[in-house]
Amino acid sequence: MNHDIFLYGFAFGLRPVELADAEYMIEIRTKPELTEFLPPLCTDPEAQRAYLTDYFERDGDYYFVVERISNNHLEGNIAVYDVDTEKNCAEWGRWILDVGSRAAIEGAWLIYRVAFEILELEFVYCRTNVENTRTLSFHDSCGLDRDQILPNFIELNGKLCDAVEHRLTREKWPSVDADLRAKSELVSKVLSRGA
Amino acid sequence: MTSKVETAVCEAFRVILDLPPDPGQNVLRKESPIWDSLKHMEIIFAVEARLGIQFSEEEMGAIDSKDHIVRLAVAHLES
Repeated sequence: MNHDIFLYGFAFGLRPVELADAEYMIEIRTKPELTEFLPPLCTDPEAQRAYLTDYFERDGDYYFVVERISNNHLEGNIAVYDVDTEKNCAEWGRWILDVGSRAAIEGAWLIYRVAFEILELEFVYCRTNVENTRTLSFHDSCGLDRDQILPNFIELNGKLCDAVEHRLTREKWPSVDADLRAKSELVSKVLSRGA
Repeated sequence: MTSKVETAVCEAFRVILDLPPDPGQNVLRKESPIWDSLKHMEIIFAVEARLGIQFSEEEMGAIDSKDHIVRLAVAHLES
C-alpha cells in the first residue's frame, strides 16, 4: 500500500518502503546470519521491484523501513499487513534487522504504535516459527500473550513447522507501551553516548 | 574486584533471565534462547546500575557471554 505513515521515536523511525529500497531489501534478506528462519528470496532486483509495485496497490498493507534518526542508516524492515476491517486487527511481521542493529525494542514499539495509535486496531498478532526460540522469547519479554499454536503453518526449506501466534490487544497495549517506551528511551541514551 | 563484579552480574542474570549461574560457570548468549535482545538490554542496564559504569554502544553489541560482561565491567572499574 502506498501509505504515508512516518513515525519517529527516540533513536529510530519508520518510513514507508519505496521502490528505491528494492536493492536494500534484497541485500538484507540475503545475509546468512539473518535468514535462518526466513524463506528464500528472489535476488533479482526487477522481481523485487515488481513485488513492491504489486504491494503499492494492495490495501491494508503497511511496509516500513526502519531508520536510525541520527544518521538515516537503514536498520531493516517491518510491516503491518492483512488488516481485517471487520475484526479491526492485523498481522505484523516481515521483521528483519541488520546484524548489530539496536533497533529491536524501538522497532517493535513503533510498529505497535502504528497499529494502535494510527490504524486504531483492536489487536495485532505475529506468527513465529516454533524453532525460532529467541524471537519467541522476545515477544514474551515484550509482554505479549501466546495465543495459539498453528500446526504445520510455516514451510521452510521443504519442511513444515508449527508457528506460535502472539497477540497484543488494545486492552494490554498501555502497559506494553509504557515498558517498551521506557526501554527504547534507555537504549537511545546508550546510543547517544558515542555521539 | 572480580568477585564483586561477578556477584553483580550473576544477580542481574538471576533477576532477568531467571538463571542463577554458578559464579564459576559461563553463560553463552548463543546457547540461551531466553537471552533475547530485550533481555540483553535489561542485563546491560542492570549491570551498569549496580556497578556505576557505562558500556559503549560497541561493547553493548559485542557482549556474548556472562564472562564477557564481567571482563568488560572489571576493565571499566579499573580504568
